[in-house]
Amino acid sequence: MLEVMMLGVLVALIKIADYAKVIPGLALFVLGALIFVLAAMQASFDPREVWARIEWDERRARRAEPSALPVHST
Amino acid sequence: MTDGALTAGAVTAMRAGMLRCEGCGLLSYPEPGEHEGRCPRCGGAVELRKRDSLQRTWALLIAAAACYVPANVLPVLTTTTAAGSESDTILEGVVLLWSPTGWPLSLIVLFASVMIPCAKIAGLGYLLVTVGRGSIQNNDQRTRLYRIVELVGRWSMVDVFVDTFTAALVQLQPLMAVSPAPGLFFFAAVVVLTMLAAESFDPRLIWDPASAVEAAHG
Repeated sequence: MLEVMMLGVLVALIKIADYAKVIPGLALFVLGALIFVLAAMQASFDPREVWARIEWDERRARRAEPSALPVHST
Repeated sequence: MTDGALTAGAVTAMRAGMLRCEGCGLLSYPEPGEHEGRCPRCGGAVELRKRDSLQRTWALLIAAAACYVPANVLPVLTTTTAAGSESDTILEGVVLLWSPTGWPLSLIVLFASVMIPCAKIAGLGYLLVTVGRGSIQNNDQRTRLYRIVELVGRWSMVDVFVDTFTAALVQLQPLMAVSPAPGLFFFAAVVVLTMLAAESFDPRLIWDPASAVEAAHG
């Protein structure tokens, strides 16, 4: 939602620029950079990798207590 | 339908008697005699298909369509100046933004606030009607349509952000003040309701009739 908010802020600032002088501050540019970094982070993150590690732990737990969890396969 | 990994004849989790977790993607077998349960890995609720998917999506979609009318007819922003106060609807805002230099912005707002909600309501309505009738045609296109509806949904929120930020920043009483008007709440409701509708729709339902036909013919 951050990129949507960014676009909304930009449109709002340009609208306000009709009535007042708008000087974009440093934070606006940093926010722009943050959006790209967050998008890159999300694209490179693979949740399956994380879930696979939890599964490894869970398999150990199942071995210890076989009846505790329903049967599943991956 | 042969260019993807999944064809209508592929083995589905449902036919294999398995449940797929929406949260972590794990396939698991339900307890004997059950059709739903908890994911053994992440603890999320798992079910064969989203419960009452069509009914819920219809309800949310109709609510969104009902809110769409006041969202466009009622003003979304009230500007109060020394000369008096003035209210603008979404379309009036688009017209106000239209200028030799500002027309791309005007187009962005027009797309995000008028066309996307309209297209989403129409697209989801089409999906609901075809799935309700058990259509087996254009399955890949319909799946793509669903993905697009899901993807573009949040972008219609742009206008809500524009108006709330304008209202927050322009508070120069007694010279000039901008405040949100009732239409904005209806508009936000449209966006949220269409997003919930897209969320409650189960795209697997698109493929189920084709899968059933395939199963019947071997």
